[in-house]
Amino acid sequence: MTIDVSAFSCDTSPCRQQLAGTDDPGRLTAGVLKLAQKWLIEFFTERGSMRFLPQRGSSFFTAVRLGRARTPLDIEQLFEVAAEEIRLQFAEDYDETTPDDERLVSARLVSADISIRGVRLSVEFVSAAGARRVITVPVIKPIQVS
Amino acid sequence: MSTTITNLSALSSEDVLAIQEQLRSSIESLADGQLDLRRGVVHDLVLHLHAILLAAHFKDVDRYMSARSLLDISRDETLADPAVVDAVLSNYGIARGEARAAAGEVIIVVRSPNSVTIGAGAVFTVDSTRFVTEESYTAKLEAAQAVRPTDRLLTPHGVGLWRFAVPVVAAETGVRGNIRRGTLLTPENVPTAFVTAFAAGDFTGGADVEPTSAMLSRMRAGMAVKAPGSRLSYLSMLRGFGEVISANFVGFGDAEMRRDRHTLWPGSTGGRVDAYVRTQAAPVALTAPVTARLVSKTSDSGVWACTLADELPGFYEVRAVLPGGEVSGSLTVISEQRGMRAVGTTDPDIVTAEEASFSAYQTAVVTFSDPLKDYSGLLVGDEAEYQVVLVGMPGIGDLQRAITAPDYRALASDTLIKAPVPCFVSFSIIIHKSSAQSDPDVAAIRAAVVDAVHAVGFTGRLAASTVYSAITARLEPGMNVGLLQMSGRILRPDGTPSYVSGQHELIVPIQPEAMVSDKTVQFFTQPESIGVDVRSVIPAQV
Repeated sequence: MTIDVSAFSCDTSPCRQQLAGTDDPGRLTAGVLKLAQKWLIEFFTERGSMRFLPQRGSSFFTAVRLGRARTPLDIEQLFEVAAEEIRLQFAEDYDETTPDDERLVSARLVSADISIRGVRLSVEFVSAAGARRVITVPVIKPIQVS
Repeated sequence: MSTTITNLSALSSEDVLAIQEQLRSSIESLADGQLDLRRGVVHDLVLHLHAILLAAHFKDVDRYMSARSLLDISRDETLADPAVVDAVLSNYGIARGEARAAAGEVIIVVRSPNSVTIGAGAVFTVDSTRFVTEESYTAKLEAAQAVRPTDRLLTPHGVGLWRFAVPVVAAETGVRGNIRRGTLLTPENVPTAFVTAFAAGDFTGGADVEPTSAMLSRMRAGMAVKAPGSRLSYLSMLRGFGEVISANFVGFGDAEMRRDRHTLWPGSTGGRVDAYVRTQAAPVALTAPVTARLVSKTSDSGVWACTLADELPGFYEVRAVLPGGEVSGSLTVISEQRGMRAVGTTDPDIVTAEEASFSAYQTAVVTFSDPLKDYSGLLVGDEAEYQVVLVGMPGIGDLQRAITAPDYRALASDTLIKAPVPCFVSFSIIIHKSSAQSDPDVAAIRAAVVDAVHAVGFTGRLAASTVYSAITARLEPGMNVGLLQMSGRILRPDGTPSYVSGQHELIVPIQPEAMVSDKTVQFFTQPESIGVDVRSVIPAQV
C-alpha cells in the first residue's frame, strides 16, 4: 500500500479541494480514498493542459467550457467518456506488483444534482480490493453577479 | 558574466520524462516504496515540477560546459552561449568584433540657391536601411555666411541646381549600411526645393557582430605569438594593430619576394616580408581633393597633372577625376605614372615603383585634360583644385605606420604592408524559371555572389561552384542557373592588366616575378559587375 498527500477534504459533503488549511495542517491519504483522489485529479485536469504530459487529464471540462453540457443527459454522457479516458490512463500504471487496493475497478456516476447553486456529481469508486467510497464534488458553480 | 537560462518551453518531453523517471526510481527506493509516485499530488506537485526544473538546469549546464570546451565550441557553435565563448576565447586574445554603424556623406541636390536646413535626426533611407544626421546642418550660398562647423556651402550642380553635403550615420549597425558611392537616398522629410540625394562616396565602417565561427577561425592566430616570425604570428600581430580580414605573407624563399634580392649576389638574402592584407571585404571608392598644376594648354583645353601620395595609401586605381565640387562623371585621364616615395633607414627596403605598388610608399602622377575651364587667364604652372576618386583597400597606411613604429619594428627584418593584388571579377548569369514563377530577388542574388567571392581566401582560384551555391540558395525549386560566365581583370603591380575568364573556374596565373600568384591575389567584385538575366523558358508544370 502506498500513500499520497491528501488534496481533498471530504469531512463534509461535498468535498473541498484543499492541501492544508487554518485548522488542517495537511493529511495523507491511502486506499480507495487515494484512488478516488487520483481519479478526481485526472477528471479535473483538462487534457493537454499539463506541460510535457499531454495525455494526462480528461475531456470533461473542455467539453463543459465549449458549452456542450446543457442537459443532465449531456453531463452523464460526458462523464462516461471522461471515465473511460481515465480508466485507460490508470491501466498504463498497473503492473504485476500493483496491489488490489491501488487498482480501480469502477468509477460510477451515482447522481448529478443540477440546480441554481451549480452542478454536483456524486461518484462511487470501487477498488479491486472491494473497498467502496462515494464522493460528492461540486464541478460547476453559477457565476455570481452583484 | 551573464548566462542565458533555458526557456522551459524549449525543453523536450523526452528529456523531462527521462529525468522524472530517474527521480521516481531514486525516491521510491528512499521511501521504501511507500509513496505513490506515479500519479497524484506528490507526483504532480513535486516530482513532475522538479523534473522540469532539473531538465532545464541540466540543459544550461550542458550548454555552459560545451562552451567551456574549445573542441565542443568548434563542433557546434550554436550550443555555445555567446557570453561564455567570449570569455573562453579572451584567454587567447580573441575578442568578438562588435557591430558598428556605417557612416558617410550624402549629397543633397536642390533647385534653388536659398538656405536649406537639415535638422539633427533627419532620416534618409535606402530600401529599409536608415541613415540619420547627428547634428543640424544649414546650407548657405555665400562662403562668408558659412561660419559654423555645421554650415555647408551650396555649390552649383549642373544647370539651375545646387548641392551640399551632410554627414550621416546608419541608424542600425551592420554591413547593410555600407552603401556604395552614388546610391540614391530618400529623405523621410523632404527638404525645401529637394531634387535628389545620393551617397557622395562609399559608406564605410558598418559591421555585424562577429559570429562565433569567425572568431574560431581567428583563434589559431590569436594563440600565436604576436611578433614577426611565422605567417601565423605575423597575422596575429597585424590584427593587434587594426582591422584585418585576411592576409598572406611572402618572405624568404618565396618566388614572389623580390625585395630581398637587391644585392649583387644572385640570391635571396632574407630579412624582408611583404604582407598582402585585406582590411575589408570590398575596396572603397574614396573621393579626395587634390591640387593640380597646369602642364600645357590650348585656347579651349588644358592638361593638368597632380601627384597622389597620402589620399588613399596603396590605392588600386584612379576611377575618376572631377572638377572641384563635381560629384559625377570624369575628366579624361591621359596617363597615370606610378612611383614611390623616398624611404628612410627605418622604412622597408624598396627600390622600385613596382615593389612599392599597393603599399603606403606608392605614389602616382595623374595627368588629365580639362576642357571645361576658361584658360584665357591661366598660365602654365598655375594650380587648381580638383577631386580624384580612388579605389583601394583602406587602412594600409595605418598598418604600415604601426608596424614601422619604433616600439614594434622588427630588428632583424622589415615588413611592407600591401593591399592584395586585385582581380576584379565580373559575372554574366542566366537564370531559367517557368512563366508561372515570379522572378527571383536579383538584388539578393548579386549580394550573395559578392559575399561568396569576397570570402575566398588566398587560393588563387575562384570556383564556379562557389558562385553556384550562392545563387541557387536564393532560387525557388524549379529554377536553375542556365549560364555562369566569369571574367577577371588582374591589376598587376607593374600597372598592366592581365585577364582571366572561364565558366568553371578562374585561375590566377602564377607569375611570381611579377608578384602575381595565389599568394598575392584576392578576388573582388561588386553588384554592378554582376549581370543577371532571368528567362522564363521552363514549361510550367501541371
